[in-house]
Amino acid sequence: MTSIYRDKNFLSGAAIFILSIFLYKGSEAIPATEKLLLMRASFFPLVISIGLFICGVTLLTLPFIRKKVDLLSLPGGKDMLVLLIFIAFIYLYIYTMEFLGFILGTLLYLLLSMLLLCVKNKIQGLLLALGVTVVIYFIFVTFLKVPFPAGLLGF
Amino acid sequence: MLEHLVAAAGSVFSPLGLLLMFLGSLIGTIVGALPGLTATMAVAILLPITFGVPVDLAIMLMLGIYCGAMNGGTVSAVLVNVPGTPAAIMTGLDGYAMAQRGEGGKAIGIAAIGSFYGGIFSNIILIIFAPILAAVALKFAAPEYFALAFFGLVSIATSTTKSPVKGAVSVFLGLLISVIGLDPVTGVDRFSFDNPEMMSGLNFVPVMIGLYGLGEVLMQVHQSEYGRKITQQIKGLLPTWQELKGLHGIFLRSSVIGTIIGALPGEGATIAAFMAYTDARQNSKHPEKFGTGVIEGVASCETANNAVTGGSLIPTLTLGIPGSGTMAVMMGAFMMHNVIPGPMLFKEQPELVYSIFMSLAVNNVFMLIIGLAGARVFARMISIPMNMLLPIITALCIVGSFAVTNTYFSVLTMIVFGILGYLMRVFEFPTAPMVIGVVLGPLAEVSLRRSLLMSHGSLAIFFTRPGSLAIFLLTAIYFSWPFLKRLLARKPDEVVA
Repeated sequence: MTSIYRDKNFLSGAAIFILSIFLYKGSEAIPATEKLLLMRASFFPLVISIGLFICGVTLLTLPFIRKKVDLLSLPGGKDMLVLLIFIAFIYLYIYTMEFLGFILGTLLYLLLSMLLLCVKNKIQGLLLALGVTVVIYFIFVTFLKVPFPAGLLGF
Repeated sequence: MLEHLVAAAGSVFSPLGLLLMFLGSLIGTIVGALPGLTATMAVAILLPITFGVPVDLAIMLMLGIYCGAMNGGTVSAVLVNVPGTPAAIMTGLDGYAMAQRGEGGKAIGIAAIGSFYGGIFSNIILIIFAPILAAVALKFAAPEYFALAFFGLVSIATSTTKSPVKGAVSVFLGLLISVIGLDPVTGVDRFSFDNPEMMSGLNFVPVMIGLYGLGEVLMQVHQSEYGRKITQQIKGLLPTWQELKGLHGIFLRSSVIGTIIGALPGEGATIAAFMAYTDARQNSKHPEKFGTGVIEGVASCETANNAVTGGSLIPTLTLGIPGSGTMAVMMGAFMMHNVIPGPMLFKEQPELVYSIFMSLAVNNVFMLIIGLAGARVFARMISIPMNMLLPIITALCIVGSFAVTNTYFSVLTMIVFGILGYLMRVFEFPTAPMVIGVVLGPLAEVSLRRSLLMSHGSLAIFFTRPGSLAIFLLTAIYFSWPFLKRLLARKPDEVVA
């Protein structure tokens, strides 16, 4: 029965259960400006927390009732690493955009991510990354006037 | 009325209007054709490009993307049996078999014609019924709106997944997001953690881009599907006149099915396609041939899944209740442009309503032209490997969410919800109920509290007013219908036994 702790319903149920407790406590902390509970700002969040609590408990008990385990499957070692690096690249892209600027940052992000995901035709990847960067720049900066950081290139 | 029609026609048939609709249909078809990218994702990630254009033109563009994406899913379903959108799953059954016989072009042609038929049919129904429903809805007060929101939320929670509990969790999470910020009734701060950007509530565009865009990208990286490369050649697009004549009955029946399914909350294009396919097979003279590459199979599901477009706009436009995740995103797009769907829209902005009706028809024409003329190009486009597309989609998600408020907070919100969307996919939670929860949350909360204030805290108000009672009864019938149907189908002696 140790595999129960890797059951999708059990794990998600536990997370929902904990969230509902925090939400209930948080709802109680909302200042009460009205006498009637129904009219207070905390009323709807309380209803949501109770709903989540019931759902969380149901999901927690589901594998025991069904006597069947629905195991959580996560990507293996290398695939998990790729996924984590992919997310890290997103963070790096945003973090360095102020310094690198939109054009350089986007181009670098696209190229690095494509390399991470093992693009075979590197020339095609480079051309696509360049084209996409220019198109996005044209639509958002030239047409929609979105003020992306200029960075190193100065535009 | 005439002056509103003329004004609407002026904006729909203006060069810019036509150009934007054409571009919308083209972009939508391209995105829809790419395996794994859904119509909802297309609308969500492309929503920011509408910020710079006037509201009527922005909506025309979004409708173009929506219609195009619904049709675009066919290309990869037919050519490689990898549906571009979930709505095209059924199309692959016969479409792919036709493609293997070298008739892929014909399957795509029939799909485009069927989609056009379904789209125009549902548009006519929308034009006839939407104003009537909106006139009825004008008489609604808070209890009726709560009943409607309740119907929308519960139906989406139960119909989008095998597990109603997971659907309910998704709805509650959406409602939780909707309560962040200042309370609309008392003005008290809720869960904003003193962050000024959260006090006015979380902007739902980055939320939707994260859930549908980044969430799906991360899931595809998780499944290591990024190395997939697809190639196919197509030839001969148009079916013969005789073949088209023989499909008329299927086109009509599938259009009716698609429009009705689209108008029901919680149901969507995938279910419509499945039901139309089943109907076509049941009424066929050669049902055993379905699945082996018959044109009736392709025609039925493609007509139905596109008929959903007009049908699903009926509750969205008239009641402000989106029936599906895609419609919730569309409604979000409307609201971003300060257009609040609901009965008042028909009263206060009739020109906009007429331009929506007209642009849906024009978009269907563009969809047909693009679907037929561009099929060979789209066949080449689906050969772009996912490992090139996924970083591009991610960059679009980031840029698009930044453009919403020009702050990194929106990008951060998008990433948080992208990761949440990914986790929801891993744990098999549906995302559509969450988006509908976000969109309907304020309506549900405010109308519930106003109703209870009207009745001094008594829930009886929902059952003593004819309007809300009727909606709650409809809700009860809607949910008990599968059980009632089973009960009615039993023979009398079985019931006694």
